Amino acid sequence: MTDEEVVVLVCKGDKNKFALIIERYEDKLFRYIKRLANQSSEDVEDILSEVFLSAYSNLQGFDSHKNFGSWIYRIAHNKVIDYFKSKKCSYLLNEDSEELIWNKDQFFEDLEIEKENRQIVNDAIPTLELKYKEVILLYYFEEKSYQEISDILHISVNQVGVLIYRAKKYLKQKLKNFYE
Amino acid sequence: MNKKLKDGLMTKIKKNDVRMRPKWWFQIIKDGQVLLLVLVFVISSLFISSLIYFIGLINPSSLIKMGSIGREVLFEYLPYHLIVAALVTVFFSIFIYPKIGDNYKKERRQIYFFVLLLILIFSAILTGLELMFEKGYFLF
Repeated sequence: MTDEEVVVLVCKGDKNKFALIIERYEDKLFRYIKRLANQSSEDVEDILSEVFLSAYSNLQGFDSHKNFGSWIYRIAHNKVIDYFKSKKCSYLLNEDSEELIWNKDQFFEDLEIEKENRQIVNDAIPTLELKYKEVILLYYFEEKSYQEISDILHISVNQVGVLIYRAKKYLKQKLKNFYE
Repeated sequence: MNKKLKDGLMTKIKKNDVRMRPKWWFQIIKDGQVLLLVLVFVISSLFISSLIYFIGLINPSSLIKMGSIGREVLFEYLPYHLIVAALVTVFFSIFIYPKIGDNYKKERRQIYFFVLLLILIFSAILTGLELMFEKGYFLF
């Protein structure tokens, strides 16, 4: 059963089916929010709960002809933005949060970064501005297409490309600065 | 998977602590946004057509021909409040247009082009109507 079919059933009154949505997206969204917000697991779980509750209360507003994944990621994006607004900053470096794994071969190959330099780039990713970090995260780590990222962030496909290009440029510059 | 989180959420949902908003609520928001956009387009077009009308009354070409005194008079009588109002509403149209529906998918250039074209068309229609009123086309 597809997500969109599950949504139709929940909207018709079968509340139990919403558990399927939680099961399918809990781990993915947890990873996504954790990387994006860079916070402790407890804080991430709080944001995640808000995401699912908001998704449930707004389920009737979902257009079943569209991609449910993009829709729920959009809610997660909005909740993280709200979280940042409440903390009055554009990114957070929380030393208490557990080590994040940003290791993805395709990402490093695309950036043409040698294995010994990966840690430097890993350390630089959390310092990226939210808009850059988010596109990198969605494209390389969540494996979303440009079209899906456009639907999640509500920006044009061209803008997605521009943001990815700029984020990669920034990371390469960081690496260059490290050796200078 | 965190079973506690799932169970907690499902309990809240089943107990009706969280309610699903009705479909009509979203429809009202959607229609309201479109209505707001049309309203902003019409208001900015009204300001632009009024601006054209008042500038026509001043007759700037004849004032410019009068040299520096004519230019001074022109600058003194320009309807600055209308210029500001027209600019503000046009910028507001450009600002809210991508926030409605799937318009975010459009490129910046497309948005500028579409919004400005639509406002110009509305303004041309309104200016045309004003002229028709002046010439008495609507008097029966």
